[in-house]
Amino acid sequence: METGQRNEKDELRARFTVWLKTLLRRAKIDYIRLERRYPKTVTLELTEKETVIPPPESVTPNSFDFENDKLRAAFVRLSLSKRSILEMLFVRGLEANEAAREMGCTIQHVYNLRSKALKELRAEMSKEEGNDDE
Amino acid sequence: MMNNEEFRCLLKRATEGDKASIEEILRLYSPLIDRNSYIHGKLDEDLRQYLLLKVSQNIHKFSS
Repeated sequence: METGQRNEKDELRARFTVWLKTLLRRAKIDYIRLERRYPKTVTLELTEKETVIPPPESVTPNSFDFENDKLRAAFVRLSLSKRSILEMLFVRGLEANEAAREMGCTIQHVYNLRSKALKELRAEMSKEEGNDDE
Repeated sequence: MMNNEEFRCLLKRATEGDKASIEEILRLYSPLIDRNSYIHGKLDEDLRQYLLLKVSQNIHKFSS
């Protein structure tokens, strides 16, 4: 009689263990799926520190030998990264891939920055010309 | 090691939602939970917490 009771309770413990094992296995699968769908992310501050290397500090309007004062004024208004790209490409005569290495960015980004910078310069120049005409 | 009668009572209280009993069950079964907390041979602490949470949330579903 006593042994029968013990077996019954042992059976309870065994049943609970099996139930728990199943639960744990399913929960683990859920967790891995969630992890895959929403991977742990790195904060923006961290990525910025790693990827954005500040452009060389020595880019001033005097980097270029401007013949045109308007162009100088327009150049000053560009952002620092655009100024340094232009300086690297046109003053120091670097290739795009060398400039990219120095800036710590992709070659495509160098081209993008260059074309944006030139576009801005052109816009500034034509705007000022327009003002002069008025 | 608790005897079978104690375990039965503990499990009953845990399934009824008694927090102390759930904690005791989690402590009893922590080796099993820890064993399931490894991913690629490395202990994932977040997974361990997730498993502990899931067990405590679902223990009431176990019918004795």
